[in-house]
Amino acid sequence: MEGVPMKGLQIRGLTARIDEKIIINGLDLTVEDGQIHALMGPNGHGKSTLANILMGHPRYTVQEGAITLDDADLMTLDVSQRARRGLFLAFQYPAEIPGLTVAKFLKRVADLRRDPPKNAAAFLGELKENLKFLEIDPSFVNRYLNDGFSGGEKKRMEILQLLTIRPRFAIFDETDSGLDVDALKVVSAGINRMRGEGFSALLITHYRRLLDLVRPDRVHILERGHIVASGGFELVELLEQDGYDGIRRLVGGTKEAVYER
Amino acid sequence: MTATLTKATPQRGSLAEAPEFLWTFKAPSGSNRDEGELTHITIPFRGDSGRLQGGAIHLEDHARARVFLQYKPQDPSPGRSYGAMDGETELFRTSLEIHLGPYAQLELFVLSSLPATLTREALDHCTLEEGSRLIWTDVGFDAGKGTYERNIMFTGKESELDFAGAYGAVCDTEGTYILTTRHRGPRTKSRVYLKSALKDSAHLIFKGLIHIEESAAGSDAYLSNRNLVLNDGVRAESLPQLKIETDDVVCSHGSTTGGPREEELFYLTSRGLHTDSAKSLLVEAHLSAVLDRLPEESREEVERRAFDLLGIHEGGACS
Amino acid sequence: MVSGAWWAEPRRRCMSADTLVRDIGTAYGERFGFSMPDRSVLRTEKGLTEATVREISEAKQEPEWMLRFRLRALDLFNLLPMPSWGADLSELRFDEMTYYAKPTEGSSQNWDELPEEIKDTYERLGIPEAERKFLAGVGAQYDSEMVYHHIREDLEKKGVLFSDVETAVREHPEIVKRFFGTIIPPDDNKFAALNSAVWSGGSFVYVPPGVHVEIPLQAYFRVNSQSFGQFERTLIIADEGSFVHYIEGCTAPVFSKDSLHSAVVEIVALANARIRYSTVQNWSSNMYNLVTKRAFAYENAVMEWVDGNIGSKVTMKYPAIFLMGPGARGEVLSIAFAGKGQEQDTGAKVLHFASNTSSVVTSKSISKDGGTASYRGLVKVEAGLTGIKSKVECDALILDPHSKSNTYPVMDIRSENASMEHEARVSKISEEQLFYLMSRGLTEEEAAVMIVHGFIDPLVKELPMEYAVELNRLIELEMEGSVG
Repeated sequence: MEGVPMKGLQIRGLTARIDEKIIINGLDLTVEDGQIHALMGPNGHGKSTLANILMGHPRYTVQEGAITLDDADLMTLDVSQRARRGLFLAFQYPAEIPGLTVAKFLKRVADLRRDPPKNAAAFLGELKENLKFLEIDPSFVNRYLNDGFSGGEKKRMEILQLLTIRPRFAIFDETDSGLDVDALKVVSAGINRMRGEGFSALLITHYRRLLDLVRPDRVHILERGHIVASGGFELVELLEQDGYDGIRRLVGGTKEAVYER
Repeated sequence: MTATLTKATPQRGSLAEAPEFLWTFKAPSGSNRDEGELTHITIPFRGDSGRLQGGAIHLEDHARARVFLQYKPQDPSPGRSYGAMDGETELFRTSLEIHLGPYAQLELFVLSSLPATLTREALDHCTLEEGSRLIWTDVGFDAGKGTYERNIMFTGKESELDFAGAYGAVCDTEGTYILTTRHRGPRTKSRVYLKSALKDSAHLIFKGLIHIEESAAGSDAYLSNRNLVLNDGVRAESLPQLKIETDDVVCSHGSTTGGPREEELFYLTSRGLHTDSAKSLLVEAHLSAVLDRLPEESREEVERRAFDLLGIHEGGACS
Repeated sequence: MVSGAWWAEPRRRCMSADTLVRDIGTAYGERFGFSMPDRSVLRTEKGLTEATVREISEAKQEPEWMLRFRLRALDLFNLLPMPSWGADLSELRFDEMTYYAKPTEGSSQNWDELPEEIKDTYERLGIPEAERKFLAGVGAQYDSEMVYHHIREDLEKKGVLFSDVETAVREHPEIVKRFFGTIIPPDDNKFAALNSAVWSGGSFVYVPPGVHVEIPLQAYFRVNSQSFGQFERTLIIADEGSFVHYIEGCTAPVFSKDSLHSAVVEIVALANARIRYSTVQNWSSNMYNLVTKRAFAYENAVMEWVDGNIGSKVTMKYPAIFLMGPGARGEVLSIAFAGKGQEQDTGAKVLHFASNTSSVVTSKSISKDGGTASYRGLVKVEAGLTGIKSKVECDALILDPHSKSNTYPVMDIRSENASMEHEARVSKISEEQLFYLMSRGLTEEEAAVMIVHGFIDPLVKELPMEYAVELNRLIELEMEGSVG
């Protein structure tokens, strides 16, 4: 990948559906390398759907549009291929895999990195450091992946994976929901730790709290399947004061975009 | 001979004589009963021991109906207590055929509380076509021996069954309840809840088979059987079975059998209730989930009779 | 728990299955004091007659009472009907089988005759050349004397009796007579009757009161006799307060020309004793594996069955525990893998005969390539008991649309003060789980393998490490090509 301009994530004219219902409609979004953008919007308008579509969830059908990561076309790649290209999704509701220990799983995915840990000792060293940084009890690693984890534990587990995998582009699907103040601090620290060249991210959220700790370079509002407004942090403040109505007034109403077949 | 109807509604549903059946309830295509309109059908024992009495319920496509079926003894004299008289019993055999056309919906209530002088044999077959829905609430408190076999076949895609049964057995009642759901069409769904309470030396057997054929991909089936045992000497047998012939399904079943829970008894008695009253209360709670589904006008009476039967009596009520 | 040379020699945890080949015993017999009767009969004629049974008894130089036991069992075998339920046994031909073959030294098996898949699996599992031949019944015997010797000494010091059943019949008749055929009487079922008539080989273990046997005992330790006999019969007695873990079987595929393996395992855990019996069965795809296994657990005793079924054409096996005394506990952990052309009909039976007893049954099965996995179970609680707890959990994974899974549990409760729970689930590998793991870079197949490993982990955890590692590798091999 040397010498290739690191452009980040680019979505152009994306229209996608699940069964017969169109959820994403003509969406454009670009997140340049090194940047962190926020994606906000009312419930049920496509935020989580977008996250899942980016990752390649088989349930959704993309009708039109292009998704590229560093200029490489993601559309022709399946889920695991996208992951190996550097895409990462921190799930809102991570699946539980009983019987599979956290340690075994993390070792497996660390080995898929372009710069995998040299040996078991190196892996353990990394892991220890990450556990400490995220204030996760070491006994965690012997538990079965997400099995019986509380909401907060699941979210921390997603961040632990983030630090283990070190992806190029990470999408955080409401990672802040249900977290208490301390957990939120730790999660934000994890995200900020990745910040920099060679990494960009999209934070999907409703609330300001996370965005105060992980300052986004740009904020987008998704409504009715497409981006209705983009701007700086002032959009977050406007949202907090006047809700989504405030945004609508600013933008002058959204185009009648979603239609059902 | 026509079956007894407490509400005859010749326009929207018709009662016709069929050659093999003693009664048929038909709801024509698209017919839709108003909320609360309930058809009562009584099926009495005709004194013809061993003869098969047939009945049928046919709903054509998009029809909706609510039917309340009650099995009654020939001579319902309130003076008769439970327990066979001189050991003589008569055989009351019935068969019920239910057919739901595409997108039809039937809410069915079946109530049976027969004396021990009657031995029961019921064989019911249901066919559910595409998109149809059967909501069946089954209440059984027969005192004598009985075998109740129900087969539900999901022939059309996306058909659904919601079955809840409440069963009480006291004295030396012996009941075998067999419920088979056979999923043939894709994306069909079944939910079966069987709850029972057993007392004295009663014996209940629950056999619930969920059979998913290879053509039924995307189907979702669940069966649960919960038996509340009220004293030593009863016998509760549970045989939930799964026969799965394809991978794209979600099927599960659960079965629990046991006495009233210690913590629950403790809680109730700590509020001043005697153990017997506490147990009775727990029986009520156990069966209420099902009995609550009954239409309002019959619910109270059924509950009263059921809990009276299952309540802990002084000196025992088995003759 | 494991120690000593056994641990250091991981590859030698398994002895070959082939009933035609092996007698390691003759040389060892002289060295370690076993005697191997030398008889002129090499192989009985096809079919099962009274003459056959007498020949077998004579070849083993058995006392009169054992011969009478066999003959009575033969009568029962002829009377009892075939089971009317379970897997399809219509192809079994009793009159065409050979019921006894004297184990001989040297090989009578040809490496080239061995089915390709077996050779292939040995290759994939990384089994060394010498061991392959050994497992296939081709090569010379293993030199495991040193390992074996150490263990034997240790056991003898503790007073633990461990030998083949024939030796026990001759040398410890009082113990044998007390228990043999009492846990599984010959009239229990047709195959128990068959085994009772023609049994040969199998382990006898007696652990004296209070003794804890630290290393798991395995059939191969009894090197003086065939260990995977067709009709082996095992009897294990743990006296009061003792502990032993016995392992039967082999993860590497085991090949036998004989098509029927009908074993009987009788186990007694006296008061406060604990026994764990682990089996990993990987019979070749021509085998009918019909086994009757039962344990009696007395007051405060604990019995654990760990049962892994990977191979065979048909397996019917329902490890049973009779909880005979108050405070007794039973646990069954069962895994079945049904691949192409296989029918695994397995499960567990627990009967509560005393108060304050508890049981846990965990069954997991995987079906693929048209295989059928069935769970058959029974939990029975007699009347008049108190403080009974039982929990049964069955989980089945079906990996493709042509495979099948059945669950046939029976719960029969006659006591009020009993709490019995049963749950079963059948499904395919969850899409969400696959998506989650793939989103971390694993391919669909890798993700499926990981999920299946996770699925069986609760059982694999309970096996000694060698078995666990091998079992995991085996599953990976089985899973190949099963996705996409």
